[in-house]
Amino acid sequence: MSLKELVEDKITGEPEEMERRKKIWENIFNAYEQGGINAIVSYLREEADDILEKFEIPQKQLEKKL
Amino acid sequence: MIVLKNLKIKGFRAYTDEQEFTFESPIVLLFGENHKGKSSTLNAIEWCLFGSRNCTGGDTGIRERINWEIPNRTLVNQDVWVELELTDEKYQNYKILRRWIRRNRDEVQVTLPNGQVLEGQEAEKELSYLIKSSFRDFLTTVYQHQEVIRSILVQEPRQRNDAIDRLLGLSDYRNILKGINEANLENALKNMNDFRNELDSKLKTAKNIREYDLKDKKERAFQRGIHQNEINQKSLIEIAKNIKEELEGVANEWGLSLDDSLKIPEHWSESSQFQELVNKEITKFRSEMPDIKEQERLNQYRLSLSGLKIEYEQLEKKLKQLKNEKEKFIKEIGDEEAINKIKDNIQKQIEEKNKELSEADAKASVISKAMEYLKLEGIDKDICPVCGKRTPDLLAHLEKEWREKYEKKVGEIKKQIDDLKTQLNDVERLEQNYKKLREDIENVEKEIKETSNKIGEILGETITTQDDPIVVLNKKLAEIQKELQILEKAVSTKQENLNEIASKVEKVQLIGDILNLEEKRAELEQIEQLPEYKQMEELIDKMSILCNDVKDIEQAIKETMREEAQNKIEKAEEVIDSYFRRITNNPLISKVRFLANEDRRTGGNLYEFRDQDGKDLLSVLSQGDLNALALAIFLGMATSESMNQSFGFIMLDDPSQSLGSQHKANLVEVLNKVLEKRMVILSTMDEELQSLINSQITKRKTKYLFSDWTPEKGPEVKKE
Repeated sequence: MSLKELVEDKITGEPEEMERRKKIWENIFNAYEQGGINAIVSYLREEADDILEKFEIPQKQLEKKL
Repeated sequence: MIVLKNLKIKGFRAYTDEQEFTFESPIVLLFGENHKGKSSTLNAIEWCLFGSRNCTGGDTGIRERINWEIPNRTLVNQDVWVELELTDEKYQNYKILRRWIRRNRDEVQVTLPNGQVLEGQEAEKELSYLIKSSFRDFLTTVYQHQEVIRSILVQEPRQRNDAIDRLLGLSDYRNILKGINEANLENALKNMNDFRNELDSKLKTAKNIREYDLKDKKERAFQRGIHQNEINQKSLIEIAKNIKEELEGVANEWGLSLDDSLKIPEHWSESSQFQELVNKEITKFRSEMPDIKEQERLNQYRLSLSGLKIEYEQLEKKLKQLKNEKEKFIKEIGDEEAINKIKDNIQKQIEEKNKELSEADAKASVISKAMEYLKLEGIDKDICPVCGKRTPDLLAHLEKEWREKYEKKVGEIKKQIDDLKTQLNDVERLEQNYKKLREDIENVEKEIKETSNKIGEILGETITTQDDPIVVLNKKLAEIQKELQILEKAVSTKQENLNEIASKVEKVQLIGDILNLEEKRAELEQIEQLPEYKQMEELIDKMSILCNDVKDIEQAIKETMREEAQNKIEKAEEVIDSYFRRITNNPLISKVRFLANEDRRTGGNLYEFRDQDGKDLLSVLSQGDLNALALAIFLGMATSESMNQSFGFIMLDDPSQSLGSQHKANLVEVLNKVLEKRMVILSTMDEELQSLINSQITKRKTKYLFSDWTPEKGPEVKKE
């Protein structure tokens, strides 16, 4: 078995949760294959930034309310 | 198994010119000093098989591979390539040619046993199929890099664990974990949670502040006589209506106009604007009130009259003073006529004295001239030049007479004249003083008349010489004072009215403020129900889920890495134990147990080496023993039957870094064992090891001696 499959087999969680985690793992692994450590950092930061950008909207609105 | 046959290198790293190596013996030795090109030879095999993409960069786990340069720096045309000839398990010949194109880009060409030449993706695919191993497996089981032994030798456990991970071919796991760790998702989640906590805290504080402000405003409202049931919009509008009506009444009564922009508020939020406009109107009414204007006028009039009164009184006082001075002058000195008489008398006396002086002067002149004559040479000194009479000793006689009689008399008369002139000057000065006094009196009298006229003008009546202006003024000032008192009362009453209106406006503002604070408090209480708040919580949950997912993945990676480590150790443990004990030959160690556990702090692998009694070995191992341990792990992994190796050779780069003489001899013994299973390509500068290999390795050897490396020509390599 390849490294990718070995890790995939160890991923836990409820079915839906596990599916999502396997998808993230696949993306992490593909990023590593294509661009090494930095590509993993970029991929995960992009995921986080996507949430953070959306977060900024209510954040600013709520700050104004105070 | 893949067996090396031939290697050609051109322009790669230390090489410039083409160099060929053949691998016809079980052991190929690369002997020579440091920096002569030995490592470049081993690197060339690695690069030819795996290319720049695998061999360069920090992800290899080899520090020197960061910014690793492939072409030789002195090359002009940059013709860089490496060609390997090898055979597979069926002894079929393959030729691999890798050519450097540019940084991180090279092309491979594979010549198949039937002579067909494959290029590009096809060639890469064929090569991958042929070698059947990943780059990390190659570093674990084929190529022992110098840096791995150096890392094992360090005393810092974390670095040593890292190095053993690399020896076990677990670099990819470590790299992926490093990438996940560097993304620092937990920090993003922490920032989001911090914001929510701060928001909740601010919300609580804001609620407390609103509550406090509300309580304070209500207390002030109650103190102003506002009842709880008046704190509503209806009451506020009612009070505002009343205020406007009162202001209109005042405006009509005083003949003023009300600003059109003053409107009764329709909502409590307009109360501030209403208060501002009403206060502006009140300020305007206070300054434009007719009684105030009259007060101002009368005060100004009183001020003018008082000024004239003071002026008139001062002039009268001055006149009286001047007249007194004049009276005293006349009494002491006399009037103008008396002064003239005194002046005439002195002038007459001066005339008489001048006459007397003139006479005395004529006689004195004759005597003086006679004396001068008598003093001349050849003159009869006893005959008088005036009368011709002979008088003995005439000159002496004349000199005595002139001195005693005329000189004294003329002096006295002159003094008398001077005294008289001084008297005359004094009298003339008195005359001037008198005239000045008289003029001053005339001037003051004129000013009094003018002031009197001014008083008449300002009072609007004629002031004759028969009137006493001061009395007239006092009478008028008393009338003004009376009028001012009446006005003051009226103004005070009107100001009171305006104050009452202002007080009502303050009530409007207080009610408005309370209603505003109540609304803001309600808004704060609603924040947690707002869609924005819910959206914020959803996004925090989303980030939390992402963090948990990645944590689970991290855990899976760590578990897999540990299992793989344990699996590999299990397969190679016996061989590692055997090699380690052979190299170290320590009588106290009869068994080495190699364990991979979980590092509870980092979650990574924690390697332990224990002796036959289960005691920790790492803490008692020397540098030589640690070097031996690194070699034992590598050689154990490389030669273990159960590791399914696809390569029939191993490459050792400077394996004896910290080994003592006995260790080296033992290593050569082990190499003899290894050579039973694999071809060995060994690079070293260690002469003792070279000597031991020459004398103790029983298999046939091919030696390449490296010397005289120059930047232009590269290494000089001689085959022995």
